[in-house]
Amino acid sequence: MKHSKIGLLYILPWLAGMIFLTLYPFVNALVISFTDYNLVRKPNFVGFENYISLFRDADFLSTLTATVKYTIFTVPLQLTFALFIAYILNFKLKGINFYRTAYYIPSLLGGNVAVAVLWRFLFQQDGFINRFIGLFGAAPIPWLSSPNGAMAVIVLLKVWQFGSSMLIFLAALKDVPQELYEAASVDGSSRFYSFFRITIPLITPTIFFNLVMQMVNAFQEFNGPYLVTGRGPLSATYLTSMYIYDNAFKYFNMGYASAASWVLFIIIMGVTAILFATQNKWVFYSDEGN
Amino acid sequence: MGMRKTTGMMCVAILAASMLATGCSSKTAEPVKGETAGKDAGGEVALSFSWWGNDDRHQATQKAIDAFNTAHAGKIKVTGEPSGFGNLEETFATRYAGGTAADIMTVNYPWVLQYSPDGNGFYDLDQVKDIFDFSQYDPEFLKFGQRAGKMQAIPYGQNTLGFYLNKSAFERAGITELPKTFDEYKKAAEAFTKADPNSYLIVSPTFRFAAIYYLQQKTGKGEFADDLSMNYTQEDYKDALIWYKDLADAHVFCSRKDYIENVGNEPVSIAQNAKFINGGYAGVLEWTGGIASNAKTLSDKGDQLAIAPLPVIDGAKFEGTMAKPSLTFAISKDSKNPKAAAEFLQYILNDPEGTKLMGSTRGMVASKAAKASLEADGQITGVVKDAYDFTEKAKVINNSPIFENATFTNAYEKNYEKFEFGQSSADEAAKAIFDAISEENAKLKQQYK
Repeated sequence: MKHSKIGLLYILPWLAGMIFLTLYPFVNALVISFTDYNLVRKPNFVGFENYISLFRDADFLSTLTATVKYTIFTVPLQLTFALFIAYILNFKLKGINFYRTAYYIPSLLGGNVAVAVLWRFLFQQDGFINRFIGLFGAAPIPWLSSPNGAMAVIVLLKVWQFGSSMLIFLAALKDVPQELYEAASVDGSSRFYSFFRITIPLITPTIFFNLVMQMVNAFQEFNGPYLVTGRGPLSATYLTSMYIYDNAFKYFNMGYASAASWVLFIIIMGVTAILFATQNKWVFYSDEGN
Repeated sequence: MGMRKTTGMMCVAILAASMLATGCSSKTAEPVKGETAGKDAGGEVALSFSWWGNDDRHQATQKAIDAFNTAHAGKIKVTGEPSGFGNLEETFATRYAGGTAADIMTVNYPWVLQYSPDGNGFYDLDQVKDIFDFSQYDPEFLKFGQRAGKMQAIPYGQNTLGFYLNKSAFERAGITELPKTFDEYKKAAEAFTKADPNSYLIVSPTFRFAAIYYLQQKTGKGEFADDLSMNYTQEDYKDALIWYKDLADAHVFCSRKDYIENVGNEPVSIAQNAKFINGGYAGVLEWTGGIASNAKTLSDKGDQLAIAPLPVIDGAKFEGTMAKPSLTFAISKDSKNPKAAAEFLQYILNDPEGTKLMGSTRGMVASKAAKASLEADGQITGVVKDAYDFTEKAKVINNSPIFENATFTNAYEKNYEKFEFGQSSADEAAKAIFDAISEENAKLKQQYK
């Protein structure tokens, strides 16, 4: 009992922050979502009107499509790249620590305004990327002014920030017993075969963890698209998070924005639940004896 | 063991106490009525002043603040809180709702109605008539800052929408006389695009400016009547879409595609845009409030900005443009030192020294004292003088206070974009604009009746 009291005291700072900075706004948003609060006037209760309006709002539905598209492109690419680089960084090579640090830096800088400005410069009509591909005779690509181009730009920005996933994969790769590779090698297994038959199955818990975390992040992504492309041409990069922001702070529809944020939360919860339900089929935990 | 436990509990207690302490701000102290609150131990009143703009405006304003602080050393100290043009409404809304607005705020003209429909959204400036000299202003012009009979904000000056051209770029293209009609603009665009196929004559922060310019001339009315009713029909919006696209295809107006590529998605000031500075955009359709910034960035490159005559569409019922108060200044209703805040306003808006330092970075001034000070200091020369003359002579229709509602601008931008990208017809885009504006207009009429 005494131990649990002391433990509670130790986590009190975090608990206070969690209650006042996360839980309270969380519940408050739910309450506001049933009102017509607009920041200036007193809120009036409107029942489920905001939620019903949301599903009749073509703009909101198109932001959900854009967000799902963004997630489908970004997450697999980011995880694949992160695993590939982690695999290479797992070798004992000279200067490997330098490369591990260098590959992690984009994760620290990614949401930065300076990086967003730089990213726009890179992908402008006469930016570095078009000049580079022009060296090979290719015509300039309208990255920022075409719907697919704009989506590619923000996907690439997110994929570039693969560092944190890479570090987690690296730690998982280091945990794979070397004896397994040695035994496989003795039996004539190639590196390629060992990777898919030994490495991947043993790191599926880590893959699952990264998949869930990156999926949740992608659904909530705001900084990159907001700073680099904005809505994008034909609202191609207008993600749900930006829609919520605009409704709250541009159009002053706080109640409506709160309803949209709760719908997004439920969608993320649903997708996470589906991933958890499917993990039995492909995630192998070492303590299960499989 | 007991010692370790005690030490551990002391560490936890210190951690928890420091976490609570960081959550506290200086404003959690017991509120003090009158002018004593907000004072530091030495009795100096601390005020904050928020504004938005480009670098030239920030520098000029900070000079004025520093001079005021020097003149009032030990009594009043003002801290500046500048920001850029982007997201200024969202920033203002968040600060206002959170009770963290600056003591003296720059307030966009439509926000006076939005935040103070009943005249209680800002400090009542009639209470400081003994400090701020309202006689320097035209009484009719002051009405832009009044709500429910109370003086809520002081309008700084008039903003007039005009065509400002890079005269040097035109001369380089072999055009010595600036265009006066849209046909002349089309001919000029041919000359420009021969040298640079990606150039455009006029860029505007939003397609809506050009569309309303056209519709005002076509109908002779502003977009909204005094009772906030809509003046334009769906057919009017369709005509505006087709007219603009025709001129965008001719490279007179910037296409939406090019704007997204080279400026961004949002309506922002073009003054510091690379394509504008390099002559890829040979002019802007903008408010006079931005003319000094636009002229400065061009002059840094050796180019000259000039105000072009207002082109008139065929069959126009009105041969002018639109205008609005450029911006207003208000004192927060939560300010603990409104009288000191009024002293600062008097300094930057009417005082000879203060107005000289503020300069013309916010456009034309409405205060007679401010104008006299700028003239005496030789600041009303060149393109700034041209802007004053233009403002005085131009025929204008004043914007309704609901004009700048974000939903309206979004409806124009989004649907023009679809039309230009071939995703909708002119009829569909016009209907979408008309429906979106009608819906929002109905809500606003209900809200402000």
